[in-house]
Amino acid sequence: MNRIGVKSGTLPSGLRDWRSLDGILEEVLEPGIELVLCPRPEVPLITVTFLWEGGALLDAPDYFGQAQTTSELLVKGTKTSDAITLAARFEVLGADFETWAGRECLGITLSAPRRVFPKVWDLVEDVFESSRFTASELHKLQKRSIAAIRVAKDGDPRSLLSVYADSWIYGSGSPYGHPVGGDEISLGRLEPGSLRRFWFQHLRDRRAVVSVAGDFDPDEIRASLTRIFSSRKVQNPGSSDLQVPVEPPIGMRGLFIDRPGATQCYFWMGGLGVDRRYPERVGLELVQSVLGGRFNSLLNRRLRIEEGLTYGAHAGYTLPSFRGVSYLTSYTPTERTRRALDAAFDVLRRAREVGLLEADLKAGRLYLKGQEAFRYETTNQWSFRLALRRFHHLSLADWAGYAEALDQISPARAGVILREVFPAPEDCFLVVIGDARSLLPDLVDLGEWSLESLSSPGFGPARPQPVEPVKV
Amino acid sequence: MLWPDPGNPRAALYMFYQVGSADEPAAPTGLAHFLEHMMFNGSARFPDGDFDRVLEAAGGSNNAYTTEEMTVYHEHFPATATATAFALEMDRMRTLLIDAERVDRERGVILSEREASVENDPVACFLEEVQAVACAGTAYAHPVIGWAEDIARIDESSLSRFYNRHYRYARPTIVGVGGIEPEHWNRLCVDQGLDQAPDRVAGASEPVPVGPHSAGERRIERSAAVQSSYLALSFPTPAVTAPSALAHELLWTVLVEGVASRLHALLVERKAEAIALEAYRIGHRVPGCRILLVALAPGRRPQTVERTIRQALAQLADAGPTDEERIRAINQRLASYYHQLESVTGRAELLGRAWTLHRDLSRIQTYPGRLEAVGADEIRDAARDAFGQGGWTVGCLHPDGT
Repeated sequence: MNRIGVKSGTLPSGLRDWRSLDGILEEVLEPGIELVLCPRPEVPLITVTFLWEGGALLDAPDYFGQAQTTSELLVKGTKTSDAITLAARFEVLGADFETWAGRECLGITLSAPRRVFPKVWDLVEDVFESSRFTASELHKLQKRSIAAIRVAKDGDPRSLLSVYADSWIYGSGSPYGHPVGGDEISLGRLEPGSLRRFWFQHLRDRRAVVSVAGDFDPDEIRASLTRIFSSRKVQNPGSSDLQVPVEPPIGMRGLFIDRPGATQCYFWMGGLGVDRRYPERVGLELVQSVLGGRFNSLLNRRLRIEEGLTYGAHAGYTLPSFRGVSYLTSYTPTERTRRALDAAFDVLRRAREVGLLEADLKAGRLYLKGQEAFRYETTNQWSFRLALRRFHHLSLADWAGYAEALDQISPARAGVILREVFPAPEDCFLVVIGDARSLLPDLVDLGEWSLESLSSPGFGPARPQPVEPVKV
Repeated sequence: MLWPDPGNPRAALYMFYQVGSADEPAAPTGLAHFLEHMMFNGSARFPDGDFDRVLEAAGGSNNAYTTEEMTVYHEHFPATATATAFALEMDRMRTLLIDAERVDRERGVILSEREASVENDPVACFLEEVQAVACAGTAYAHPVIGWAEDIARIDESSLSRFYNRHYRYARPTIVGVGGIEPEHWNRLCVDQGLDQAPDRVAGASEPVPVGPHSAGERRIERSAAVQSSYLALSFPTPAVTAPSALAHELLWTVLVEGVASRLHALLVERKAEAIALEAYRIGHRVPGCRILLVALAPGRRPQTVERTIRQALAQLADAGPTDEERIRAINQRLASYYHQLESVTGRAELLGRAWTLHRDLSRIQTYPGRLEAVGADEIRDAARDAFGQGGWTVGCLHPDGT
């Protein structure tokens, strides 16, 4: 038997409590930076997550992809370095500097070996203060992003299902419906000046959360952050100024995205779910795990293990500040599409009508408790997850009581949650990407369908906006 | 082998079977990958979906992957569930249930996997062809998942034979990492008879895979329903055990990793001839190939981009990397090494690969020092090996009608 590093000593009397809050600090740093510090000295790395409130929700109408493109353009050159030089300055240190936009925030993930961090902070300051937003770099990005959408449409379209679904459910004009990454038309409309203003005059001074995990000295972190945010002027617009139209679904509404000759069909069925303030978040996590959140879930068991219809089937939900979506999704060879759709509908119908069995819930609780430690293992995970919790105002104390909260979810409660969050099959929005000529005739009895081509620009037809958007 | 981490509540168990698609008999292809799927469909003590049911109820999660040369099964779970995970793996290593009904059901799953990841993706289909040409005449010419017509005819007897030979009577490398007490681990291994010499099927011979060979340049031209062109170039690369392997690893880091890497900076940022590029290798134990895939910017012609790439590679082979490029590549590799050390699954991968590919565990600890010892001249020599000796395959994928 070959071993390495086996020590002759024995284990500590008990496994250390990885969920302990000891050492995690939350504080507000001037000027208005919400800071989370999570010391993890095991490996000589530091990861910093920055989140600014805003993101694609702030995209102007017809300028979808503004936040995403702003995040990408941020690192395409500063006063002292062009785009390649700037990238090289990070990469030569072994530093990762990833910028991205989500629906509700703009984020940066920065990770590097501890010993190079003083130099890394200088680079971050350079980016935050003097990013150039040049027309030439924007032009390149636009062409690349538009081409990347076409590549995704040419290739494996799984990642596009949720983009079509958001647009189909919320309407493409809704802050929640338009594509975060923009589309082939909207990206072409972006201009460097507006993106520059978007960052310097709008986003940079909004509410910001910074979360640091790894092998660091807290005082060094505070000093560095204070320096790089020195010109920040705190604004407090919050997200309450945003309107998100919410329209309850009645009857099945189908969107068929035609890909002529496709031998595989990809489908998504779902509807409006709940928001971040939903009181039964832990219960929802359990329900999702049992319904379609792991290999042995009801959905995957039926579609993959029992019927061999697909390689994978999944149920999920989003929990944004306003009502998110909840869904079931899978894919299957064209000729088996109807059978797979009916099986997925059947799983959903039965779960809503019969409820979830205690045996399944028990297995789900044990699974989630066991896997939770793997969601908080690396510095990247600690940094990102703690930043998100802070961003959504979720308390660390709640998190520490996760296992106990799971134990409280009875079959009756799980049934209520499932019916509250997941729509009835007959009220689902359905998105299908496949060969319309061979498939659509077999699906007409399911409800009303709209037909679009996968190669058309954008992500599906705009449905009419509700007459009176809900003011939140 | 065990890499204990006292007090860590997490643990991982990895089984490295030294068999992959390059060990398949001439046909049917896809056997190794098909068997990987069958390993989830029941064994004597844990029939019909019990593998996942039992492991998930113990808080564990699992998956597997097949390459040309190995098949790896992996679980990560609370350290307290080590005995459960171990029992599950041992049972399917020895008493897998393979019958016609299970095989037929799994065939549907695999065909769906192939449909989704290959048949429905013109670029994936194109890359299968590039591999077939670049590795023609070797055991690496076919895709790991197998050709669809072969998947259709794999039956329980071919799977049983493959299983008996490469699993039941062979010996995988078993890796444990995390909060597993060494005495506990030893007891589990002894109870399973793993301290005894492995059994072997009488007359079974070790397959000798043949690596991709270098000959003259080969070209393929294809068209498909894509909106812009792709270029795929295949270059020879040495086995990972070769003395120059680390220099080649740094060579490819210099070329394609990061925005400032030589080819990305040139093709994507400066000339805007491409929108993305990536490189991957086929064959690790043997001299294999590196395939560079470039997604061209709309309207760009593969011939022009190929010329740009040829010039860039010739320049690197002539003058070698700059000091900054060398340091950048070393630091990028070091950072990803540290990231891999952070998780029990990352450490299990490192340990299993160090043993199965190199029979040398010390290389994990010596990696940073070995990286830093690679000079710019060695990277230049690696470039000369890769780009100056022929053996290229060049594939172009054009949009239909152009």
